[in-house]
Amino acid sequence: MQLPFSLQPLFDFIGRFLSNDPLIGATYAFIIVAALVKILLILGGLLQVIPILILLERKIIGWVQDRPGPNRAGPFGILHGFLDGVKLFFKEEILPSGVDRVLYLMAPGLVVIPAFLALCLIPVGPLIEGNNLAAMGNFLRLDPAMVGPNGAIKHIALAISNPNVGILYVLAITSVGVYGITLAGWSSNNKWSLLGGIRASAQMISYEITLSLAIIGVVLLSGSLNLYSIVDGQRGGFWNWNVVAQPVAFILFIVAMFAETNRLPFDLAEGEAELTGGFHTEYSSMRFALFFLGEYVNMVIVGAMCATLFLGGFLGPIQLDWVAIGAATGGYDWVVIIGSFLLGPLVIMPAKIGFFIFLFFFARATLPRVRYDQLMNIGWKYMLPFGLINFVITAVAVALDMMWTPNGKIELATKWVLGAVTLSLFLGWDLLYFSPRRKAQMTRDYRHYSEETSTGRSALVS
Amino acid sequence: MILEFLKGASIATRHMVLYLAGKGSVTLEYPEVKREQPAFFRGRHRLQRYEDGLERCVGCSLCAAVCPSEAIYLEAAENTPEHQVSAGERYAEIYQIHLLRCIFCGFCEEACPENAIIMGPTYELAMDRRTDTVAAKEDMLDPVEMGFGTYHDYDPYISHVTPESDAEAKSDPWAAKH
Repeated sequence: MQLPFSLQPLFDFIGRFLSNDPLIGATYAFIIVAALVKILLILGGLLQVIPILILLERKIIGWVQDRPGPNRAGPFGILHGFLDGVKLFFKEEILPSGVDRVLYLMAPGLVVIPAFLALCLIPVGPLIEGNNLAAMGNFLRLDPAMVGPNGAIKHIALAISNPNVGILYVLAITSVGVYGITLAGWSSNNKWSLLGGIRASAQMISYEITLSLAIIGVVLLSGSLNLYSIVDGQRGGFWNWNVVAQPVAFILFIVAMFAETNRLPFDLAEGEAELTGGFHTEYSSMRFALFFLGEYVNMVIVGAMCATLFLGGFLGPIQLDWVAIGAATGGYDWVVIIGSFLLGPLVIMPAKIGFFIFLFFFARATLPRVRYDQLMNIGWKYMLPFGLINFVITAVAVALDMMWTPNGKIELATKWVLGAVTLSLFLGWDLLYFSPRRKAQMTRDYRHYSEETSTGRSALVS
Repeated sequence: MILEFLKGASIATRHMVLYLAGKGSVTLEYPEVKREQPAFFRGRHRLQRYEDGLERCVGCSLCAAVCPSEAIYLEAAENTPEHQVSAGERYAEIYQIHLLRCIFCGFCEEACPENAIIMGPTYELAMDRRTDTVAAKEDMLDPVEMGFGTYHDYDPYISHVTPESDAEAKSDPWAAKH
């Protein structure tokens, strides 16, 4: 199976502008073109999905509230998301007097750009290497010296970029996103916006720590910061996924994920009940829409991160040997291509991300917004200690495993024991700490507090 | 805390699953499906006719007098044998209701001695021209072919009205007494 024409002349041509050596030039050209194609596919695909996500959010919230949700524009209302975008595009853009112009105009970009930057780390499919790479090079009729098992390019990652410190990069970039929100609040010259921005930054600082602690457990287990290595460590089936070994980290990650993306029940930065919209109060038209674009892209990214770290990323729930299946069914090439390379990016990864996106929407329909002191309490007093405990237990387990079976990988039994221990500790603490008696006491405490404050006496004095 | 989350999630899940299974929805697909209005519904005004096509309104202006927002304007004219419009001596030559002023209190139908004006079931009052906000007599009058008591079911005050009682009302009460 081969293309009717070769792509090699294209890379040779571009390569002439890049290097004197034709092979090195063509290799650079291939790397650049491949990156552009991957950016186009992943970014373009995501941007097409976002209007549908907006519609789905409204639909799911509607279903939970016994309503049909938007269903007027197009069949099942599929045009609502696009029409929302069109409406926002054509609205008047108001620049309030008194804003800090530069920061005000820059802030929406500061929200969206880090979101997209974090996107390029997500591994949506496996590495193409070895025989598969040779087959691909043969299909595109490329020079084996350039692309092939023995060529200059020995593997192609189905992610835009695959650095060795992938996790650190994602953590760093997603934290930068809060600058956009904070600066939007500050530059609006509006006290409610400012409060929203400050809340967002404080919340991000508090939950970033928990998020990192949850990730550290996974990093300890896989022994690498590279996202492909982390996924590889979960090969073998769903009982090998990190969620089995790190259930507490999984729960902490999910909670921190909600706080990171400023979604309900942690959308204190918007807080339309008390802050009239929070940091985006003064924004209109497309700049307003950019905040939402950033929020939705962020949701997709943290969902993809959670899937990669805990749910095996692009790996299916059961590991199948596609080469054997291809040999058995006869249609070798297509079975292998679809099974090993297209199933991950097109079915498994979207399904896992979709699960988390659904969780976001469902939680928004289910849970009320927490108070700010509750948010800080959850973050610092409950989640952070549990992150630390989980981290210590995981470290001990990994050390013991390496001591007893020094074969460079964590045994399945260790994972299971680790998961059972941390999960039972967490659940046991949860059930004991929030026992009915204790909950009644907390309610009494809160009533006492609110009565004192409502009668004008300071709760601090008594 | 896990228990509380699960409790909340189970409620939300139950509602979602029941809705998707087609139970528990109270929403009507409005433009296609319209809700039946109850008998006492006070919607857009209608001017009723007798069975034989004569108008019930005799131009007495009681509705205009009782209207708290002065939304009704009415000019009466004399009936002549050649030009018999209503069943009484006079009829309403001009009858207008300003729908932006009207508060749909229903006093007009209560005040009407002839059961001529009633508030019908129509609640779709949106209009796209300023002039449409003043409903003229032709807009409110039942067409002749609609006949007697089209909206009887919607008006508790005239639900006791029958063709026989109408015939009695149409017969000249002054002639019987004098």
